[in-house]
Amino acid sequence: MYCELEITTAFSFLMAASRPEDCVRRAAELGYDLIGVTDTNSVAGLVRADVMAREMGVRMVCGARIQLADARATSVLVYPTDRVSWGGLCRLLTRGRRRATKGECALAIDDLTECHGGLLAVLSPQAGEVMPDRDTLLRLRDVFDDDRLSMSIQQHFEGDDHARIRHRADLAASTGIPLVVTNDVRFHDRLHRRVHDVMTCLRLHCTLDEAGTRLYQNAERCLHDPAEMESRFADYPQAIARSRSIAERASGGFSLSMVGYRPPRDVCPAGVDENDHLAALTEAGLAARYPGGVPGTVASQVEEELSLIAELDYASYFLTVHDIVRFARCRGILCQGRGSAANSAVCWALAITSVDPATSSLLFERFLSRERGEPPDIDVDFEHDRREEVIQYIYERYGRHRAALCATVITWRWRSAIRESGRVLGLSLDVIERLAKGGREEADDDAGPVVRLAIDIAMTLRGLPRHRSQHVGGFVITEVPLETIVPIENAAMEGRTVIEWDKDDLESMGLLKIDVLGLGMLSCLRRCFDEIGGDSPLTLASIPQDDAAVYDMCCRADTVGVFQIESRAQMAMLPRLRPRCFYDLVIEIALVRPGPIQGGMVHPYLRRREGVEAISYPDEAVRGVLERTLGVPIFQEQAMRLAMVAGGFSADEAECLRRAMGAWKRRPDTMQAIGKRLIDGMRHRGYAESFIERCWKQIHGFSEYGFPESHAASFALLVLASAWVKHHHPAAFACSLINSQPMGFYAPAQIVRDAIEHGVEVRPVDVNHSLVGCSLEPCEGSDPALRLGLRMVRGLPRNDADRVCGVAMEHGHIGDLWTLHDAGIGSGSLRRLAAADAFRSAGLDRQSALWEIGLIERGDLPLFPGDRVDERAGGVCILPTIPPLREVLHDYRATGLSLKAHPMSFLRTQLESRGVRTAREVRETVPSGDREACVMVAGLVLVRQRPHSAKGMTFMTVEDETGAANIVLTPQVYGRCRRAVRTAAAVIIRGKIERRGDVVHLKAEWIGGIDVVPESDNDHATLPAARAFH
Amino acid sequence: MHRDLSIFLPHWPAELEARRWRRRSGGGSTPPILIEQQMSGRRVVVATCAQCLHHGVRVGMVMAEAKGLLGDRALHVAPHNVDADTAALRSLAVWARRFTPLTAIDPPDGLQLDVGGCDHLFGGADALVHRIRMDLDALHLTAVVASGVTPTQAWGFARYGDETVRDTSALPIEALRLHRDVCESLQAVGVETVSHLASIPRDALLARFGPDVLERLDRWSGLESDPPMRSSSPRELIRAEQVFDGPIRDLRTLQVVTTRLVADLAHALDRAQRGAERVDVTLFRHDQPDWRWSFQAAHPTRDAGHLEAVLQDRLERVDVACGVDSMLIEVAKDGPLPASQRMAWRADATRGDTAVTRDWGALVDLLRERLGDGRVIRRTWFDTHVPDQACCVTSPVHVRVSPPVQIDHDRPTRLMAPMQVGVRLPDSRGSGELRHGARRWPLVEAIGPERIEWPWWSDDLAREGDVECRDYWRACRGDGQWIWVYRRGTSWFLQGAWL
Repeated sequence: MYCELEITTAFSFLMAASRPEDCVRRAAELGYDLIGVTDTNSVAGLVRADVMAREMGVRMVCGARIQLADARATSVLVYPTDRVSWGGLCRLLTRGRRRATKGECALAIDDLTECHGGLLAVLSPQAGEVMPDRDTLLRLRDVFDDDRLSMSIQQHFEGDDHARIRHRADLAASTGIPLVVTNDVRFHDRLHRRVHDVMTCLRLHCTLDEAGTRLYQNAERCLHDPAEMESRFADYPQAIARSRSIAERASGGFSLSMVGYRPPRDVCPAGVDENDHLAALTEAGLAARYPGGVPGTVASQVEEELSLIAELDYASYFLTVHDIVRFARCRGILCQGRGSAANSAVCWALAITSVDPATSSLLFERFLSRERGEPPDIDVDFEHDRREEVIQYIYERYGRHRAALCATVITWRWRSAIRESGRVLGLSLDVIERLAKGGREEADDDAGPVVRLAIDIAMTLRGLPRHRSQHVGGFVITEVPLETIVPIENAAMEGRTVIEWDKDDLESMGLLKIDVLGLGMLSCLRRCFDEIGGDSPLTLASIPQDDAAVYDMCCRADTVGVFQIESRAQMAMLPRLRPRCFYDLVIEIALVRPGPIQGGMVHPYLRRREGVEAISYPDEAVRGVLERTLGVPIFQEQAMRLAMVAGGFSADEAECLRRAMGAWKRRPDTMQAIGKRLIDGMRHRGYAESFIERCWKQIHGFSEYGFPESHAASFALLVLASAWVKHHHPAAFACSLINSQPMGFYAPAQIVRDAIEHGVEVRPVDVNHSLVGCSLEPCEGSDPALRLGLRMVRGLPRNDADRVCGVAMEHGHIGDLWTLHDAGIGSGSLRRLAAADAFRSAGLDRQSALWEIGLIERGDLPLFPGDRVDERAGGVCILPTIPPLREVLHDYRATGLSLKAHPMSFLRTQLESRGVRTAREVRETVPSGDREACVMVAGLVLVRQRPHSAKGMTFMTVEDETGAANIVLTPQVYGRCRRAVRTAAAVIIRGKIERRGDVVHLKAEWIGGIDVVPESDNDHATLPAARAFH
Repeated sequence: MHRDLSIFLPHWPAELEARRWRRRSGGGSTPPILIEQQMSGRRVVVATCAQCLHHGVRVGMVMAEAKGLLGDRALHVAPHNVDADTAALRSLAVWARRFTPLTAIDPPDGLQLDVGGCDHLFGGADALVHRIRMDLDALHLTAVVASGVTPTQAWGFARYGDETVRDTSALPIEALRLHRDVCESLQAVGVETVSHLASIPRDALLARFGPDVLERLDRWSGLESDPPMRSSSPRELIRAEQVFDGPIRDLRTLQVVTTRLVADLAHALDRAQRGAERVDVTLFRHDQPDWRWSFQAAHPTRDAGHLEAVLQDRLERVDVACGVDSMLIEVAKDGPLPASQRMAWRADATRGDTAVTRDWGALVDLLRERLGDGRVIRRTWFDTHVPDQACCVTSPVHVRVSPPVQIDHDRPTRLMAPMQVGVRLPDSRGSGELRHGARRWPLVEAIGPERIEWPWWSDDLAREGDVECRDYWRACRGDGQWIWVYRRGTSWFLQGAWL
C-alpha cells in the first residue's frame, strides 16, 4: 500500500502551511499507517509529529529534505535507517547551517556524498528545481549503494504530468535508479491551500494579486487518500510498492525514541560514581548550611530525593548545574535558582537555590516525580550584566559541539496574523490596524468578503510557527556531541548557537535543559555589596531575616526600588498586609498576581489576617495544606495539594491540573474535564458545596498566572535583601540601582528623589568629580553622599565618558573646556556635558559653558593656545539671565532630573491661588463624611497604565515637590479628558480622595494639562516622557 | 514705500485634502484629517487640520497615538504628497496675483507677496491684509497674513507674531528663519528673542555662528536686502503661429511653414524640459470654417521629426483650395521629459529603454495616423493562472514597455468564450468524441488534465464560497485539429484551438 514520504510541515517556515500534528492526524484519518515527514533542511517538526503519530497509532518515518545549492538547484529527501545515520543527518544539517546565516542552510552534493552512511535518499526536485544531470545521477547511485537511492514521480495535474513522468521513467530505466511515488505534500487538506498561498506571498513579499503564477495553480499538494494515489499511478505499481519498502526500511531501523540522551559525565571525577559524588557534595553542602546539625526533616528529604535522582539517573544533570553555579560563585557572580527547583532540598544543599527546606514546606513532586517521567527543569538567575560570562563559560567548558541554547518557536498571534493576512489580501493599512487592535470580535457582520477572508485566514494562521528564535537562556548540554542528536544552527546574535528544537520538543525527547537567566536585581545587589564593603563582605545568605526596622519600612510602602514590591499594586497592598516576617513577604509577592486577584483570594486573606473573618477548615487534611496561608490558597502548590487532599488526586493528576491551569485559555475542555473530576472527588469525600465551589473558583483563578511557593520564596529573599540594603545603606542602594538601569519601575529621577528623602546627600554630575557610573563620596555625616555619574548625561557616548574620567584623573583638575577639547572629546559630547551643567567645578555655569562651546564648534580656532579669546569677563554679561524654572527644565532635558528644584515648585503660588493642594496634603487629608468634597492636585506625570484586567480603568502617578499621588480614572473621565491624560507632561487633577488604611487614591473627575513651558519650545522633549500605556 | 506680505497656511496639506474630500463626496462638513508619512518604518503625522489640533494631535506624532487622541471619531487619513502640495501652492500664487503682480511661493506652506505700490488700491496694507484673509477664508483655507517692511519680517510675523503686536524685537528668534541647530544653541544660553540676539556684540556672534546669523538679522532690519523675489507666473503656453500676408493655397508652402513651426515648438519644449502629449493644430482658412485637428501622442515627445511626420501626413489630406490665412500649432497637454544629451553621431548601441519606448511611440503614432484610431491595439499579458485573464487588449497610448510574462504551459493560439459541448475522452484505443448540437467529431488523443483553480480571494468569488475549478485537456480531433476543452463538474466546454 502507498505511503506518503514527502510531507513538508510549517516548520519549513513559509514553505508549507500545516502543523505536523495536523498532517499526522489527517493522514491517520485517511488511513495511512506509515508516513514520512521531511522538512526543508530541518528536523524541527519531527518531534511533534512523532508525539502525535504515537497518539494516533501511525508509524512515522523521520526524514528531511536536503536542498543542494550546486550549479543547478535540486533537493534530496533523506531518511535515516539507524541511530548512527540519524547522527549523520544531524551533522550534515549542522554543517550546512553553521556555514550560513541564521535560518539559511548551505549544502552541496559533496557534503551529501560525505555523510550518506545509512541514509535512504529520494531525488525529488521541488517546483523551480531540476533533476541532476546523468553523470551526477550515476555518481549518486554509486554512492548510495545497496539500493538506497530512488527517484520520485509526482502528479499535480499541471497539464504535462504524463510527459514528465514518462521522462523520469526513461531516466530511471537508463540509470537503474528505481522510481517511487511521492506527492510533495504542503498542506494537510485542500482548504488549507489558502494559508499556503498567503505564506508564499509573505515569502515573496507581494500581495496575492501580484503573486500570479508563483502560486500553485491548484490544491493537489494536499494529503490524498492512499487508494486515490494508487489509482493515479496504476501504471506504475512498482513505484507505489517502492514507497512502502522505503518507509518500512527507514521506520524499522530508526525511531526518535532511539536518540537517547545523557548529561555530561565529566562533571564527576574519573572513577567515581555520579550518585556517590552527588551524595558527597550534598552532604558537604548540608554541613555548611547547617553548622549546628542537619534537621531531621531535611535529612530525610535529602535521602528520599537522592534515591529518586539515582533511580531516574539525573545525578549528572544536578552535577552540571552545580558546576555552573560553582563557577559563578568563584567569579563573584551572584546567582540564585528560581522556580520549581526551590522545592528540592538537594538544590538547597548544593547552593543552587536559597530557600531553606527546614522553614518552608516543599513539594518535591512539583520538581521531580517518578511517574511523570518528565525531566527536571532547573532555572538559575545570574547577574544580568554578567550572564554572558556564565554562557561563555558553558561554551568553553563543554564545547560548542556539546552545549547549545534551545530554540523558541515564534508563532503567529492574532495581531501579526491579521496584519500579514490583511496585507497579502491587499486591505488598506487603516482597516488592518483596526482589525489588529480590536480583535476578531470587532469585525462587524456586514464586513466585506475580503475582510472576512482576512479574518478567516488570520484565525487559521494563529498558532502556526512563523520563525525560530533563541530561548532566553535554556542550555542543553550533552555527553555525546550534541550535533549527533539534533542539528545546531547559528543564532542571529554573534557567538551564539541554537539547536532546532524548542523546550516542548526537548521535554518530549527527554533532553534536559538548564535555564541560565539574567536578573537585574542581582546585578544591583552585587553592586550594593561591593559599595558597602566592610570587613566581612555581605552575601545574600548573610542578610538578617528578622530586622524589624526593615519590615517597618515595608509596611509604610516606602519601597521605591525594592525588588518586586516597588510596583504600584504591591505598594498599595503593603500597608494592608503589613509584613512582619520573611514568610509574609513570600505571601505578599505571590498575592499581588493576576491569579490570586482573579480568583478572589486577596480580600478573604486580608480579612482573615486582620482578624475580621473567622478562619475555618472543613477538616484536618485541608488545614494541613492551607494553614500557613490562613485557609486561602495563594500558591500554585496549594492548589495542587488541595486537589490531592480534598479531591483525591494522585501527584501526577495534580501535575496535570497544573498544566491544564496554564493552558486554560487555549484548551478549556481539558480544564473542564479535570474540574469535573476534582469536583466529583470532593463531593465524594463529603465536602460542603460552598467549599467546593469556592475551591474551584480559586483554582480556576490560578490559570491567570500564579506563583509557585518555591518561586515566591526565592524572590522573597531578594526582596528582603534589597529592602535591607535600602534601609541601612540608602546611598549605596540608590547608587547601585541607578548604575543597574534600566531595570525596575522607577527612573533615576524618582530613585534620586527617594534617596534625598531618606537623608542622602546627592551631588550633581561634574566633570571633575563624577565617574562614569554613580559613586559614593565621603561626607561629614556618617553616611556617604551620592555623586551622580556621567552616564546620567543624555546622549553622551560611553567612550567619551571614559575619556572624561581619564582626563580628570590625569590632570587632577579640569579647569576649562579646552582641556577636554584638546583630549579629543568632540564638541557634541562637550555640549551634552555643558547642557548637564557639569562644568561648575571648572567655574563655568551651564550658560557660560555652552556659550564657550560655540567657539569650539565653529571650528576656525586660533592656531596657538595663547590666541584663544577669553571673553569670559566681558562676554557673559551680555547674555540674558536664565530664569530658575528654565534652569530646572534644562536639567531635566540633559539628565532626566534636577537637583535644583522640582518644576512644580515654581508654579506653586499660581496653583495655590487656584486652590490646588500638594501631594503631601492629599496624602495626609482625612476625607470627611461629605461625599462632595473635592480636592485638586497637580504634578508631573510619572506613569500611565491601563491594565487589561482593570476593566478600562486608568491609573496615573503624578509627582510634585512634596511627593507622588496616585490617580484613578474611570473610562468616562478618560474619554472626556483624553488629551490631557495621554499627552500632557504635567497635569492638574480634580477628584475625590479615597482612603483605605494607609493607601490613598485620588479618584479623578477632571484632568487638564499644564503648560510648564511655552508650547513653541517643543516641550515634549523637555520633560521626561512618562511611561506610556501598556 | 516697500511693503511685503507673507501668507502662512498652517493647515495647508490637510485643508487641501479636505477640498479633495469635499469634491469627492459633494460637500458637507469634513471629518478630522490627518496627513501621514512613513518614516523609518513608523507612520507619522506630518500635517493636521484645526480639529485634530484641538484634540491634541501634533505634527511628528506616531499615527497610533494621534488616533488614540481622536478616539472613535470618524477620521480621514491621507498620505503626504509634497509635489501635489507645492503644485497647489503654485496655483494659489497665481490666484493671489489679483492683489499684486509680484507673488511667489514660499514652500512648504506659505506665499510671499510684494505689495509695495499697490496696497493703496485696497485702502492700505491693513485693509489688504483683511481682504486677503477674507478671500482665503471663502476658499476654506486657514491663513495668517502679516505685513512687514522686509520679507523676512513679514515671514516672521505671520508665523510667530501676534497681529496686534508691532514690536519686532519681542518675537522669538525662530522668526529670523535661522537654522534649527543655531536656534537651539541660542536658546540654550537664554537668547530667546530677536532683541536679545540684536544686543549681543556682532563679533561674538560671528565667532560662534558664522556670518549667516548676522545676515539674517540684517535682512530682518532691512540693512541688507533680500534676494530678489522669483515671481511665479502661470506657465506660458507653448505654441507657434504663422500669419500669412495673404491666403496661401500652395500645399508646399504650408509644408515648409509646418516644418519651421514644429521646429520652434520642439525648441520651446526642449527649454521647458517637457514633452507634448497632445498637439492642437488650427488652420484659419479663408471663407471656410477653421480646420482643427488634435493629435494625441503615445508618449510625451518633442522629437521634431516625429511630430512633423505625423503632421505632414495629415496635412496632405486637408482642403486648402480657398487659401489659409494663418496657422497655429499649440501644445494642449504636456508631460515631463527630462533633457537629454544630443549627440553628434547617433550611437544606437548605447540607447536605453526610454529611447526604445520613445521610438515605439513614434511608430505607434504613425500607424495610428495611417490606419485610424482604434485600429492599433496592444496585447498585454498578465501573470495569472486563469487563462481568461492572462491576456487583454489595451490602448497603445501611454504604456511602458513591460517585461514579457513567461507562460510555462502550452496555451491555445486562439481563445474563445467557453462554449458548452459534449466530450468523451479518447480511451486507450484512441476513440473519443466531441459533440456540439448535432455535429460530432472523433477525438483521437487527449493530454491532461491541467487543473486550474480560480483565485479564492477575488471579491465576487469570496462571497460564494466555492472557487471555480476546471480540468483542461488538449485534445486532438480526427482531422488533426488540436482543441482546448475543459470539464467543470460534469459539464464540458470548448475554450480554444491551436491554429
